[in-house]
Amino acid sequence: MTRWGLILLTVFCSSGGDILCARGMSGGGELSDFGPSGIVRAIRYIVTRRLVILGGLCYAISFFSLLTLLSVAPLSIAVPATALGFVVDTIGARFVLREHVPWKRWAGVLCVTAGVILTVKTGAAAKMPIERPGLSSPRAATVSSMSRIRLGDGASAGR
Amino acid sequence: MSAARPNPRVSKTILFIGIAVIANSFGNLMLALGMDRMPAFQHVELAHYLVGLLTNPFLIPGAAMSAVYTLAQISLFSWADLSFVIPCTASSYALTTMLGEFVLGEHVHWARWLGVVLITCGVVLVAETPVTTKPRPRENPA
Repeated sequence: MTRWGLILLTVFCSSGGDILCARGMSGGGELSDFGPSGIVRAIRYIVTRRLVILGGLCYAISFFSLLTLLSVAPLSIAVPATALGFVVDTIGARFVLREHVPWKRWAGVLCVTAGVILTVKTGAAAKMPIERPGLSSPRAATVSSMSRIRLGDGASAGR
Repeated sequence: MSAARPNPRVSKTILFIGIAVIANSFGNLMLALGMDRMPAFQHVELAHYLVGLLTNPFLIPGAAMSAVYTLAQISLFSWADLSFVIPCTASSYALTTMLGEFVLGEHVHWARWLGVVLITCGVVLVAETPVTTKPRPRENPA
């Protein structure tokens, strides 16, 4: 798969996961009891929602796609490109979830996207090369890679 | 004349976004600190590496904080708009940058600070919009 194909797969699966989780959670009513027993009930409720489980699968695909992307594209391109997810999330919220998105929210999302790209790109450009040979676990690969870049490069922050 | 009472849903949203942002940022910080103490993977056996992961004082709390972040964000979806939650939780990029500068002592480039300012402006703009823009079922049976 091409570099741009992987970027699109990462972004759309991440946003798809967000949209599925949001749809899954918005239909069942507002969680309101966060006492000790309420938290257990809330977790049980979350992990048994079908759409949330599907959303989790999308997150998993997005995660492995990001790992593959990191093996074929420089971090300074791969990670900022995934910030497009903020825009895709908002478009999905508007047209799939039928949320009303006021202009201030659009402006805010564009500011956040630009800010995240700046924050991540300047950090990633200064990073050390990623060492990846011999890693058998994708999660270990990412954590290991992330430990070798500087905190705040933010591949996992906020998404 | 009495002061307007804060909307409980708004207060709860601020609390949960705060929990998500702090848990994500400190989770990343702990994972970064923990992995800094791990040997290079290709130089040790898998079993030793796994023992190192499990006994590392930062990795389990870091993973737990990441789990708290995920649960807080998914809980938010039960009463707040996706298009509200996602940009607001992006504050964790700004907090993570600050943690990098002030806790890890990294030199943060000025362009990254500009990014932090842009994220903050974006979050302020989004925070001025209603938490939810469509009717939802009021109470969850869970």
